[in-house]
Amino acid sequence: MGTPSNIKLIDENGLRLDGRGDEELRPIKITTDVLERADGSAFIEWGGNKILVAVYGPREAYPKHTQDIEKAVIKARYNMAAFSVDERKRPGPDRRSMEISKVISEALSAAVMLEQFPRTQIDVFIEVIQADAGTRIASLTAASVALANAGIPMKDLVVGCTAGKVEGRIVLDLSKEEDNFGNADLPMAVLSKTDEIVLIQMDGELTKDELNKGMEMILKATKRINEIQRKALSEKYTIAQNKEEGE
Amino acid sequence: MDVVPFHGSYFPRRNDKVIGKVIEVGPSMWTVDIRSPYLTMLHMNDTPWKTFSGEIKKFLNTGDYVYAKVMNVNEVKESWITLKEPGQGLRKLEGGHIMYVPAPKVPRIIGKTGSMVNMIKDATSTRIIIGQNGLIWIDGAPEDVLIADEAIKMIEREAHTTGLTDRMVEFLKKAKGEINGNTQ
Repeated sequence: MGTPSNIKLIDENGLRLDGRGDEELRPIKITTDVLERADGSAFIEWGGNKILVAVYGPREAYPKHTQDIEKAVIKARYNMAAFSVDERKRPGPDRRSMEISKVISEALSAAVMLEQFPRTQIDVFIEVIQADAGTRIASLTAASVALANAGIPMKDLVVGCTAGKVEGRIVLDLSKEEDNFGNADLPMAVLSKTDEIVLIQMDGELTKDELNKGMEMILKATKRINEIQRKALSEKYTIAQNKEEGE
Repeated sequence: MDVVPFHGSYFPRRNDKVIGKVIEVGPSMWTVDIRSPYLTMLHMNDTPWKTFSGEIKKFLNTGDYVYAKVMNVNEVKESWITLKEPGQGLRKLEGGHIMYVPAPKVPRIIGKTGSMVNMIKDATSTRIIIGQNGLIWIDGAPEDVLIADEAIKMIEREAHTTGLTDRMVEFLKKAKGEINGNTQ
């Protein structure tokens, strides 16, 4: 964050490096049911991010001391492939991925009706195959789709987006360069219907007004992303139906 | 409000008849896997056999399947099943072929008052038992079992569509025709 550089992140026409405007998202594509053995799965392509999510459970929680007699526990594991970033990432959990696993578990716990299956765990395996800024909210967005795909009862879908400050301007959905050389990064996730915030983090510095503006932009963007989530979930069934009717 | 999902696991309810696999034998109880987040228990007193503590292994061993009824489920979702209800066909399942479909699809496979499964049974001359938990036991000649298996997988795939019964009639007619054609 704030690494000094002479890269111009916003050109004279007000366009960003990849030609987007301030409130423009990178292209997002979500597919469900990509894995045979998982109870639910999703694959998200968000700009250059490629992330695979597999959901298993609810199943009896092991080790036994992690069981909660009153509700299920969500165990998310965020893992980056060694080849997902420019320089080889040392495989295995590290400080950063453990933090992300924790915040994702907590964000998902706000949406899932955990009290329906006491003593169980729901495993959410997140594999980042290619990383390009904003992987935690892309993972979270895909994870909630995978949970819904697994038929796990939820109050709402979790949907996330980032905003940030680049060359003094508040922009939506930071790209890799903007993330590395910008002034601030603000990932946030909400429950799609209630706008209840389930994850918010900030790296860098924003004034109160800038923070409010960023949050407002994110809230607007989550509506669009939520449409994509819903489409991904219903797509499989509508296509099957149309094909059969056509026969 | 409640929503019926397309997928999802089975949660035992009292009086459901389920198919389970014995995965552990204790001194007086069997632990049974019914493809639910929770394992279930079968006590030796809930079987029709004369059993003695410590030697229940000769009646049911690990890997055996049973067709049983859920007797009780408590607040923390522990459950017990029973084989001791005469006239309901509860028993150890011997022979046959076991397959699995997600529990939410079971009503579609059974059909209205059993119409769908009876159609498959009649067309393939197999014996079929469907557990509410999604495990299905099919017994019959190997080629008939394969057709029944394929038919059930077709229902599983197309459970959410309309006009499935008609397509099933077609499918069974065609599959049966192929078998007869080959054997003639």
